[in-house]
This record gives sequence, C-alpha cells and structure tokens, in this order.
Amino acid sequence: MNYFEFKQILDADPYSQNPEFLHAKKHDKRCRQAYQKAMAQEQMILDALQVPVPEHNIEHIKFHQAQDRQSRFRQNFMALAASAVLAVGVGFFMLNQSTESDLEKFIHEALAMEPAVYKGADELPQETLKPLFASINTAIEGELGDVHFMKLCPTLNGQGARMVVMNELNQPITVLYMPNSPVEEAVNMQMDGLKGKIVALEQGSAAIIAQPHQSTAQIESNLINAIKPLNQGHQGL
Amino acid sequence: MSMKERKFDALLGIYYEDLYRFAYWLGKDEHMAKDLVQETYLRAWRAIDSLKDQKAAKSWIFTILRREFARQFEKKLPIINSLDEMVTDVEDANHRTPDELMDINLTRQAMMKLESKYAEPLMLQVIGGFSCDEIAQQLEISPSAVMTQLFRARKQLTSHLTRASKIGNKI
Repeated sequence: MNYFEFKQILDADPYSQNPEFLHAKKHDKRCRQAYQKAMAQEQMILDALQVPVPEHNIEHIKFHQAQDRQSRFRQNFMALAASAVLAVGVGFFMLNQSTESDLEKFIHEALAMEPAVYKGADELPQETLKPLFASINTAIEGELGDVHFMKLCPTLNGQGARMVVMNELNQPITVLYMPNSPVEEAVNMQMDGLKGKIVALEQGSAAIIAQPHQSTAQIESNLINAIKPLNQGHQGL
Repeated sequence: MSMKERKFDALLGIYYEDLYRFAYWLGKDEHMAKDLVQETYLRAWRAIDSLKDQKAAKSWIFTILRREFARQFEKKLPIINSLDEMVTDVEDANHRTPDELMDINLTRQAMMKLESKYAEPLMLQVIGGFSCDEIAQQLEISPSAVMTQLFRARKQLTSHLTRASKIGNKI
C-alpha cells in the first residue's frame, strides 16, 4: 500500500483493521507520522464528544422498567381507576366551596395519572374537537395544538374537559380545561414530582400538568390564544 | 433481581454512557437525550426476548435508539437559540491547557453544525466503537458510502477548526 492509498483510508477510518493499512502504519515512516497526526485530531474529537452523563438517570430507567412490568398487566385497570379518581375527586369537591386552593387540590389528585395512559396514537383533528368544546360553551379560534385525547368530564364547577396535548418534543402533557373556574392570574402549583400551572383563559382556566423537565410554554400560549367563550357568532359551529 | 433483569443488565446496562452520549449528539439536547435513552431501554426491555444473538446486543440497542430518535424527535428538533448555550463546558479533569480546552470547545461547536448524515456515522464510530461494516449495516448503506461520509465528516470538522483558528489569529 502506498502513502496515498494509506492516506485515503486514514482520512475516513483511522481505526481500520485492514492488514495492509496496519502494515503501512507500522513500517512506513511517512504513514506512521500521518497516522500520529490523525490520531491527535481523533483524540480531540473523542474528548469533545465526552459530555457529562447524568448518573441518576440509569436508576430512573430501572425504576421505569420495574413500573412497566407491572403497568402492562394492569393498563386497562389504570384507565378505569383514573375515571374513578376523577369521579371521587369531583364528588368530594362539589361539597366544598370553590376556592383557588380547592381547585389546586382537585387538580393534583385528579391528574396524578400518567397522560401516556390516555393518549391516542393519532392527533385529533380540530374539526372533531370543536363540537365537544361547543357543548361546554367554548369556541376554538386558531391553533390549539397537537391534541391526542379529549374527553368531557366533571370539574369543580360544572363540565370541563380533560386532554392530552403533545408538546414540541412530542411528549404527552395533561391539560384540564375548566370553563367555569376562572382565575385572575396564573397559579404555579407545588406538586410532588410534577410541575403544575393553572393559566387564566378568556373563559375559565386550564391546568397544565407535566414532568419538571418537560416544556409546556407552547401549549400554554396555544390555550390562551385559542380558547374563547362561545358567543352568538359561534353558535352555528 | 430476576433472571431477566440480570440478563438485561449484563447485556445492555454497560452501554448506558455510550447511548446517552450518542443520544445527546443526535438530538443536541440534554433533556431529549435523557428521554431518548429511557425510552430506548424501555423498548429494549420489552423486546429483550427477541434478541437471539447476544453478540449483536450493542448494535441492536443502538438501532433501537436511532429508530426511536427518528420516530419521536427528528421532525421536532428543539429550537437552538445559540450554539454557545448548547455546548457544555469542558470538564477539566485531565488538567488540559487553555488551548486544548478551546480546541475541544471548537470541536463541539463544529459537531453541532455537522449535518446529521455525516455526524451519525462519525458518532457510531467514535462513541459506539463500530467498524465501517457494522455502521453500514446499521444505516443500511454500503461500506463505501460510510467511508465517504466519515471522510466528509472529518474534513468538515477540520475545516471548521482551521477557520476558527484563523479568526482567532486575526483577533
């Protein structure tokens, strides 16, 4: 193998195990020097790619594996249990005064379930969602986002809707829309292992529940811009 | 720990760091990398019984990660406001000189800018330790195409570093 053939392989694959390449590397001075220079460059690439690895993540993964083993057996049961939690939560809070802290507590209990349990495989077209929203006196104007689940459900002050909306990284995020529970300004909720925010809408409010690292800003912005009260002009929809 | 867990740990647990780094450079985002590795291990866990050839375990789990990345994130990459924000500071555990640290940071910036068709084989080679033939199998392209992509990847990195170095000299 001459120098130029050697260099051609070296520039693409300095780790080549081609016997002729290895021989030239060992016995040809010019090839050896080129190899040493290439490996210095290679070391820099290797160093550059060595980003710190989060140690706790592997434990998190093992935890999820254990969880998965159990959850696969009782996935259907979980869906039923979620409905039961909602029903019990609603019953409990219907008996109480509607204060903002009650609202937070209700949301915390009702939305502890993973949004992944609910999400469907495909995005629901906005045209399908509009009649559902209309039934709770709500109109959708503009882009609501990538909704993969929506079901009407009782909330603290009447009917609302539970949704699973995908964020920009395609992660499922739980949203609870409460058309009859207005808040004056956004409320950040302290939740165990989750982050929660109740956002004020033109009609009522919506709670967005997500994992601490998940992005929800786009969903929040879409909800604020798209959800409107259903007025006379919208009745025909 | 069950037999299945022991088998899984022994076969695939050892690739955690390589997978994380591969995921990080694929998605260029720390949170995305965490989610991706988690989802990869979960899918591998569910499908471990289908892995017949244990020698192929490494290639198998890297393929799962690549497919998962393509499925979930490829069309929804995060908006990167500034490359500087994305590049993690180099940990100086090896007591490198300031020049060496700067070169590594420049290489990281160059990696960020590298087209994915060039970056992916390079990462499979440098992080995954795969040979050209193995990369060709994973990417379902010919070994000579892999060689071309690796050549271009290294050339782009070198030219970026040379350019950066010239700018540095002018300043």
